[in-house]
Amino acid sequence: MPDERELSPREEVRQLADAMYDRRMSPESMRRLDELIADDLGCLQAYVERIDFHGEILNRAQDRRQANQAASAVARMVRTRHVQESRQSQRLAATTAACVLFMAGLIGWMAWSKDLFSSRVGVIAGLTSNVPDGAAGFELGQILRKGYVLSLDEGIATLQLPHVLVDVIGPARLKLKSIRQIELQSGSVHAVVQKGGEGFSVRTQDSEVVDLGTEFVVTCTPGSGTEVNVRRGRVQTSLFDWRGVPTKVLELTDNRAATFLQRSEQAREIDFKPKVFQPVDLTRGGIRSIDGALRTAAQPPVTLQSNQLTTPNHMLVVPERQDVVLEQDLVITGLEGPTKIPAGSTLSSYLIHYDPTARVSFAPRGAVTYFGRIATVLVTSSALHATDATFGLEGAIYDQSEARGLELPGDEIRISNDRKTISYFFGVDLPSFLDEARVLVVNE
Amino acid sequence: MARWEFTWSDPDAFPILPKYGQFPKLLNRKTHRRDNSVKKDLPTMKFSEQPSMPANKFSKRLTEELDDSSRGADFLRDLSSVYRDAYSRALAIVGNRADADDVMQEVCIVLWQKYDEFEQDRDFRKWACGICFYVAKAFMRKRRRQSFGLSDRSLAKIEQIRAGGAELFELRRELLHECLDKLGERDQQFLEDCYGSSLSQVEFARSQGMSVETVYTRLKRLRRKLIECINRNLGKGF
Repeated sequence: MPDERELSPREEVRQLADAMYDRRMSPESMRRLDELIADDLGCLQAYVERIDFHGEILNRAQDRRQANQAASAVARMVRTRHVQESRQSQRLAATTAACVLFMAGLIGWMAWSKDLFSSRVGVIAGLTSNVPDGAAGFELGQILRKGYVLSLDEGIATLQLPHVLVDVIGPARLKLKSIRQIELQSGSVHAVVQKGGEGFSVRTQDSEVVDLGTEFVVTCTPGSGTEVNVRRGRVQTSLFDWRGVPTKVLELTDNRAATFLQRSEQAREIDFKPKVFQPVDLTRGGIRSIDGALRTAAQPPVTLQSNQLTTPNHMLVVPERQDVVLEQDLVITGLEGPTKIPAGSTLSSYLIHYDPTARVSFAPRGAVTYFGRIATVLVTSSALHATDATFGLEGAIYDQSEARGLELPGDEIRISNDRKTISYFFGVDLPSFLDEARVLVVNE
Repeated sequence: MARWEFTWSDPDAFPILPKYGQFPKLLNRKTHRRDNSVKKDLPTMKFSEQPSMPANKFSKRLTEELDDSSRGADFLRDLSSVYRDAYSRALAIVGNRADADDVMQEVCIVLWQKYDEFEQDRDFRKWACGICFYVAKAFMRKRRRQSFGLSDRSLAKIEQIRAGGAELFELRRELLHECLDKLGERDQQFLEDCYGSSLSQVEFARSQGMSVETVYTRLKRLRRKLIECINRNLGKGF
């Protein structure tokens, strides 16, 4: 009779450890195991005991076979080196002979198709603070190549492809098929396609969404279908049959949505859901890319007071109020001195927040690139206090101390010539560790 | 019959096990396995002349290096003395034999390449096991990029627990051998064939003329029996 008791966490860990030793783990099982042993000492011990148990049975089995493990390992090392050396000499001879032919062919091929020459598809341009540091395959600036599979458990990763910005909203899994196509296996992606990126497509098991110049979100739930929401522009969506051949086509424009389910051959319009755009709006806003020791906030913070939202090894970029229309001229002292922004301007605000703990000994560097042009950067405590009400997050509590702003010139901050990128280098100064700056960007 | 001497270890050394607040530290114990903690004098036979390792399969240069009696033999001797410890470290990180074998091959390469830098008055075990941990961790990171694996945070904790609970784990291993001896001969042979074979579970099942499910069911039963035996005997000592 099968055991129907609910497993205790430790018993679950033991079973997962057995599965791991027997090479029967799935990604979900591995995540579960990681979750159990990461925070529970009892489960951790159960895991180590179990693997040690398997190791000792293995040792005994090998003793019985009179295998000298160390010598065997070294012999394998030698054989591997022998194989490598043989292959090396063979390769050298073949390479010399083929070199001339290859160069001739390459020059012709490059002239014929420069797009195919590089398998580089894009780069990781942004990460929210809840994407774990060192998470597999997720580092700012990492180059993404054709065929690359991304699996994101939580947070949002922003991918910059040529003329296309794709936000992967975890948990999600996708494959980069080319610079113009991604295959979404599960989860959601938000795409902003700029001029020159038309034709970019998102393919799921149910449908394909081809962009015609737009911003949209595709959500794929395996077994339950694909949903497409278009905020602006135009996309062409196709429903696939069981062979992957398009059957029905729907064209969606501003504020329209549709759902697709392959197994029931269903493709129909539904109500547009603006809230699917919220995760990206709240975390990225009008940020094009970030670089260095920077992260975007995983969600709007409730408090930004000193020591309440610590950032031990990175700076945090917090999108504040967006699309604020000035009813009168704004005269304020910014990084470049007194600045006047005329009434009628539409501004979006971004707060850079850096609040390390006393244990931090390194000073982070980073840069943020925006879609719009930077109007001004507010770096003094007084300027920050004065603009909290107009540009700050509704309901958020800001620090009111006089040490809130930057301590120039110890803290460095530079605006690029095209006024789209701002670079930071913040030091760590006592008595307060908190450093903040507010960037006001003109919407374009 | 083995003569046992006991000392009681510090009860706070292993606080996560309130049930086993104290456990005997075994001295002068009877073991079922070779004692790898003591450096042995290996035969003066050269590496290339070891049985079942035909010389014509070797890389000539590397074989010559290993055959150098002052260096190669020292390396093999040092490696043999710590191999089990390093292997169990790698296994705890990567979780299965095939990956542990790959990790250990890499570890051997690194240790051999860095052997000249190693100062003889240092602890070779500690040095080698440290390298093993980092190689295993790098292997796991690569595995995570390709598919899935344990996080760095979990790996660090595994290493800590291994170091902190070394005596308890050693005791459990001793008891495991006693429990294995109590199994029937067919069960012992099955475990030896299953664990000692380099075949996958599917290939092993085929070679035994069984279904994969049968192999797993039998393994599960035997593992449960052994664990119950170990836990029973652990309780007897108190």
